[in-house]
Amino acid sequence: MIRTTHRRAYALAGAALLAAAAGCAGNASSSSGSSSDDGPIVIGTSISLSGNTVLNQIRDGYLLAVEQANAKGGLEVGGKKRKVELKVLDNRSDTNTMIQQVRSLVLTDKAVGLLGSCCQQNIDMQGQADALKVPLVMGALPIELLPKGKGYTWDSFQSLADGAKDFFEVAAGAKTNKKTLIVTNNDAQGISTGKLWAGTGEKAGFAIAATKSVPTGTTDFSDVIKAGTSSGAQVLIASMTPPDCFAMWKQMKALAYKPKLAIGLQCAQTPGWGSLGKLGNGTLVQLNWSDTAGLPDTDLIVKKYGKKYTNLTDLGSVALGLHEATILMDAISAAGSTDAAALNKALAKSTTVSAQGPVKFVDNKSVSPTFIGQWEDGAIKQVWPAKGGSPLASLSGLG
Amino acid sequence: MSLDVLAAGILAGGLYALIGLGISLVFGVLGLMNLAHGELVIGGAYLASLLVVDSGWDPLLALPLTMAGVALIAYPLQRYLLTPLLRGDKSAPLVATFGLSLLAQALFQGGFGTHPKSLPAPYATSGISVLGLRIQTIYLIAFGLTVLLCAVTHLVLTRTRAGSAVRAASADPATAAVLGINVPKVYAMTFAGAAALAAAGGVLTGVAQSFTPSSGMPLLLTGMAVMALAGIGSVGGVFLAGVALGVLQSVSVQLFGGGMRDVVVYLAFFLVLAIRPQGLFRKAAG
Amino acid sequence: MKKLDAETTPEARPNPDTLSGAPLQVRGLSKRFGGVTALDGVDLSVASGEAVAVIGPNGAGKSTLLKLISGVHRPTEGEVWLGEQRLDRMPAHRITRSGIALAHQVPRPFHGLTVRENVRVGAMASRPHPHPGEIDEILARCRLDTKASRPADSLRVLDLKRLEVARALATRPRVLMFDEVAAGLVGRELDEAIDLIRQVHDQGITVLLVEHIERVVRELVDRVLVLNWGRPLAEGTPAEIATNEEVRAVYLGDGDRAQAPPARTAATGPAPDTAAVLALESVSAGYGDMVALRDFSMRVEAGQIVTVLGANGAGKSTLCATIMGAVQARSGSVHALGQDITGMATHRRARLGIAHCQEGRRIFTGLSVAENLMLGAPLALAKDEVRGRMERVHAIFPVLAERATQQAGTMSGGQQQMLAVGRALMADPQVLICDEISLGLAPVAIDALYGALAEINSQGVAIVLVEQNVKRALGIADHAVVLSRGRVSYTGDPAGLLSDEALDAAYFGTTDDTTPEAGSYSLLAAPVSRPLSASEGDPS
Repeated sequence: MIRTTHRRAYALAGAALLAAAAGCAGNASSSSGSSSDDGPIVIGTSISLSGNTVLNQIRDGYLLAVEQANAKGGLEVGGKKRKVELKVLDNRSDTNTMIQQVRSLVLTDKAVGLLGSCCQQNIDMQGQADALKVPLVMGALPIELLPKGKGYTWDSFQSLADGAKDFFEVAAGAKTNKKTLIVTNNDAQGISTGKLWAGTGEKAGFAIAATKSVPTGTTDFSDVIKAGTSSGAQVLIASMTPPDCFAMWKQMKALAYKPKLAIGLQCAQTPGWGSLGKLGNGTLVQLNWSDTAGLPDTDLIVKKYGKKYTNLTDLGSVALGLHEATILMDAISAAGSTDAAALNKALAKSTTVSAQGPVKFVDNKSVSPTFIGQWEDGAIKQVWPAKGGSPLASLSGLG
Repeated sequence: MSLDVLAAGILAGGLYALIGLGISLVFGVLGLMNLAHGELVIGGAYLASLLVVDSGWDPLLALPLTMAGVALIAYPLQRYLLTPLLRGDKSAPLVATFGLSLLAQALFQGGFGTHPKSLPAPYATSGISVLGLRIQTIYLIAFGLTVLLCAVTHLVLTRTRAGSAVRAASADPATAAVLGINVPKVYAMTFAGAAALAAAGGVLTGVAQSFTPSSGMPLLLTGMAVMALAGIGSVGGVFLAGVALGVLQSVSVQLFGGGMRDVVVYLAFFLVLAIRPQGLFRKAAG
Repeated sequence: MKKLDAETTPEARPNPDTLSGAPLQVRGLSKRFGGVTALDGVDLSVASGEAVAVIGPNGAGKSTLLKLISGVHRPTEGEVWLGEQRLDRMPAHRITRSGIALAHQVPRPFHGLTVRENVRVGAMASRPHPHPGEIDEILARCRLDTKASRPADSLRVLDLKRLEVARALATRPRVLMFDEVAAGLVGRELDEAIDLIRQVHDQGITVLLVEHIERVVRELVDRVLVLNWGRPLAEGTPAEIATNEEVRAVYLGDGDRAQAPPARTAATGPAPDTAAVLALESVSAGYGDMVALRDFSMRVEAGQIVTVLGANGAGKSTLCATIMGAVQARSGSVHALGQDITGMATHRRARLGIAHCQEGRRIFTGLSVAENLMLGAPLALAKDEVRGRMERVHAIFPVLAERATQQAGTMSGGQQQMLAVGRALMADPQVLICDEISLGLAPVAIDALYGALAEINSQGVAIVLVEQNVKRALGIADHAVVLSRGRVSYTGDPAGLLSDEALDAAYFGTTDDTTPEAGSYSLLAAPVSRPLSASEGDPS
C-alpha cells in the first residue's frame, strides 16, 4: 500500500513537471526598469516564439536593429543620448496571452513603443495599441488586411494586390495556355485571396478554369487535381497551409497532373519546402525580401544571420524585423521625445529607408516591394523583378 | 460517384485504420485514452527523418527500425509513469498523456524546428494504374502495410499465449496478477506495441504527406473517430472503421465539396455514438 | 408526525384511496443472465404496511429479486405490481416515483456532497419536491440532523447506512426495501439499525428486508420467504423457518450426506519441525479505516488441507487477498515456500507457487477454455510442458478437454468452477487457495470438485480451503481455522467443530466482547453470511 502510494506520488510529480516543462517554456523576461529620463528607452514586443507559430527570425531582426542603434550610443531624446532596451515576451501563439503581455509592457514596463508579431495577432494587437494609445509598428500583415483603427498602428509590408499583379506579370512571360486553377483553404483569408487573384488574373488576360477551396488539413486532393487535368489548366495558384501543399504536390506528381507554372502562397514560403526534394523544384513563391535586390542593409543581415538562416524567407523575416524596429527608433529620434503623441506624429512623417526599402505611410500603411522567387534544389532564387534576379526556370519538379 | 473517389477513400482509410489501431489497443487493454498518440505518430516520422533525410535510407527500410525505436521510448513511459498513475484517479493518467503530448511537441520544435518536413521516396510521387484508376503508390503501400500490421496484431492477440495474457489483463487485471501475469509489464508491452503501430503510421504519413511538430492533434482526432466507429476490442472492426471513414470523407467531398468534409465526418461520428455507442462493428454486449 | 401528514396529502399522493393500501405483488418472476438462472418463478405478495424478510444462502437470488422490483434489472419473465400499477415495464426512475425505494447493502453516497445535499438529491425523484423542512425531518428521524452539513465521505459505517435510508425516505416511498442494511454492524450499531427500520415500518411504510442476521429478521418481520437457487424454498414465521430442517440443510450445505471421504488420513503426516509452505504471523490487514483481519496467524504444512471458515465479514476474503498481495498486510509477516513474501507483488507470489482460485471463479469469459488454462501456466514455460500440465488437468477434469475450444463464459457454473481450479493447477502450485469453490453449485458438481481436491492434494499440493459449506470442508480438512470478526476463534482439529454447539461457539464465540448478545444468534444466521463486498445473484 505504502509502496504504491509513493510510486504514484513520484509519477504524479513527474507528470506535473512534464506539464510545466511543456506549458511554460517561454516567457523568461525580466521586467526591471521604467523609462525614467536617465534610464534606457524601453520598447517592447509580444511575439509568438513557441506554439503554432515561431517567429524567432523577426525577433532576431528586432534585436539586430536595437544592437545597431545602441552601438551608435543610442537615441537622442531631449538632447541626451539614451540606450534602447527591447523587451521580448513570448505569447506562445495565444491571443489572450498576447493581450496581457502588451498591457504589461505598456503599463508596467513603460514601453514607449511596440513592435508587432504576425498575421492575425497583429490585427488583434492593433486594438490594444489604440486602447493604450501607444504607437505600434508592424509588418507581416499585408497592408490591405490592416483594419481601420484609431491611428496608433503602422503597417509597413507588401500589398496583396501588388503581389497578384506581379505574379501574373511573371506568368505572362512564360508560355502557358493561360488557363488557371486556383486552390485555397476554405477560411476567410483563403477565400478572399482566391477572389483577389482570380480578379487580377482575369484582368491580366488569364482564364480561371476552376476555383477550389479545401479545409485545412486536407490530405486527399484528387478532387482538385481532377479539376486541373480535366480543364487542362497550366497555371496553378495554391494558397494553403504548408502540409496541404506538401500533400497536394505529391499527389499531383503521382496522378500526373503537370501545370507549367505553380505558385505556393503561404505554403512554399516555408524553408521546409526544400524537404520535398526535387518535387519542389520550380515552385514559385512570393518574397518580401531578396538578397539580390540591392536593398539597404542586405550585407549586414547576411553577415550577421547568413549562417543561422540559410534561406531567403528566413533572412527576409530578419529583414522585416530590422525594418520595423528601425522605423520605430527613427521616429523616436525624429520626435526627440518618448511622448506617445509626439512619436505617433513622427511616424506619420517617417522617411526611414531600411531593409525593405523606403517608407512612406499613407493612412498608416506603407507598401514595401514584392519579389517572386523560385525554388531550385533546396533554395529560393529571385526571378522577378528581372533586375538582380535569375531567369525563370521550368516547373521541373512536377514535370 | 466515380470509382477513383471511392478508391482514394479506401486507400486513405488504411492510414486512418493504422493510427486508430494503436489508440484502440491502448484504450481496450489499459482503459487509457492516450492523448499523446498523435505525438507517437509524429515522433515516428521525425525518428525516420533522421535515417531518411540525414542518412539517405529508404523510408520503408527505416520503418522497422523506427517502430522499434518509438516502442523503446514508449515502454518506460508506460511502465514508470502511466501505470503507477492508473492505480489512482482515472483522470491522472489522462492528464499525464496530455502533458506528454505538449512536452513532445516542444521537444520536436526544439530538435527539428517548426518547418514542415517530409520523407522523400520515389513511391511518394509515383502513381500506378489499377483497373484504369490512377492511384498514388504510397497509399497502396500504406494500405498493404496496414492490412499486414492489422493481421499481425490480430494473430498475436488471438493465437499466442502472450496475446491471451494481454486479453486477460484487459478483462480482469486482478485475476491476471493472481495467475502470475505481470500486469504492469503487459500494459507497458501493449503501450509499446501501440507506439510501434503509431510510428509505422508516422513514417507512412511522412512519405505521403508532411509533418510539423503540431500535426499530431488532427491525427489523434482521426484515430479517436476511428475508434468510436469501430468500438473497442476488435482489430478487424478498427480496420473496417478506418476504411469507412476514408470513404465517407472522400464521398462527402465529392458530393458536398471540400468545405463540408469535416462536418460530414463528425456528424457521422455523433450519429454512430448516439445510435450505436458500442461502435459500428461490434455486437452489443450481452 | 409532520412527514406523515405530507405523505397523505392529496398533492403528494394523487390517488390516496387506491394507492395507500396497495399491496406489492410479484408474480412468477424470473431472471436469467446469459445461461445462468438467478431467479426462477418467484411469487410474493406483501400487504400494505407489512414487513417481510427474504433470506437464503448466497446466490439464492435475493438481491436479484430486489433489483427486479426496483427496476435495476428487467425481469426475463413475470410481473411486478404495486396495487393497480404494473412496475416491471417502467424505467427505474418512474418505479421510484411510484413509491418503491431501495436501500443498498453497500452505501453509495454522492462523494463531495454534504449529507443534506445527498438527501436532497434523493428527494428529486418525488413530486412535488419536498420542502426543506421535510428534509430536516427525515435527517432528524435518521439521526443525521447534527451531521447534515458534513461531507458524506466523512461518515462512519452506521451513519452511511442511515444516510442510505434517509435518501430512500426522501423519495417518499410506500415500499422501502433494505438490502442487508445491517450487514457489518455489531452491538449497539445493530440495535440502532433495527430501531431505524422499525421506525420506518411504524410510519406505515411497507418493508421488504433481505437480511442474513437472524436477530434483525426475528425482531422486525412477521413473515419470511426463503429462496434457494432462485426458487422459493419455504415461507413462514421466523420461528417456523428457524426450525425448518430443509432450510437448515440448505444453509449448511449437503455435507451431512457427503461426509463420506472418511477420516482422511493426513497425506504426509507432517512432522512438527517441517517448514511450513505457508505461514502467516500476527497479520493485520484491512481497507481504509476498517481492520478486517487482526493479529492472524496460521501455518500450512506441505501436503495439508487447511480449511478457513467464518461468518459474514469475518475476514476470510481479506485473508486470501492478503496471502496473494492484493491487500497489503499492515503488520505481521507472510512467509511462503521459504521466502518472506509480505511485500511481494501479486504476480511474483503466483510464480513462486501459490495459486489462488478466487471467489466468483473469475475466469476470462471471453476467452476459450484452453486459453484460460494456458494463462494459468507461466508465459515462459515451454510448449511441451504446458501441454503436459494441460493433460494432467484434463485427467482431473475431463470436461475441460471436451470443451477446450468453447468460450469459457458459455459453460455451466460447475464447469466454470472446474476451469477456475484447473487454471490454478496449471501453475503447478505447491499451495492452492480455494475461495468458496462450492458456492452456488449443485451437489453433484460439488462432489466432483471435492473429489478433484482430494486427488490434487494426494499429489502433494497443500490446500487452503475457504468455505461456506461447513460440513463439506470439515470432511476433507486436516486442520480447521474459524475466523470471527477478523480474529481466530477456533483453530485445531476439524472434528472439534462437528457438533452444532461447537460450531455456534466458534462462529459467535465468547471471544468477541463487543457483542454481549452474541449467544442469542442461532445457526440460521451463521454460515449463511457473506462478506460485505460480495455481489450476489448477478453473475454477469
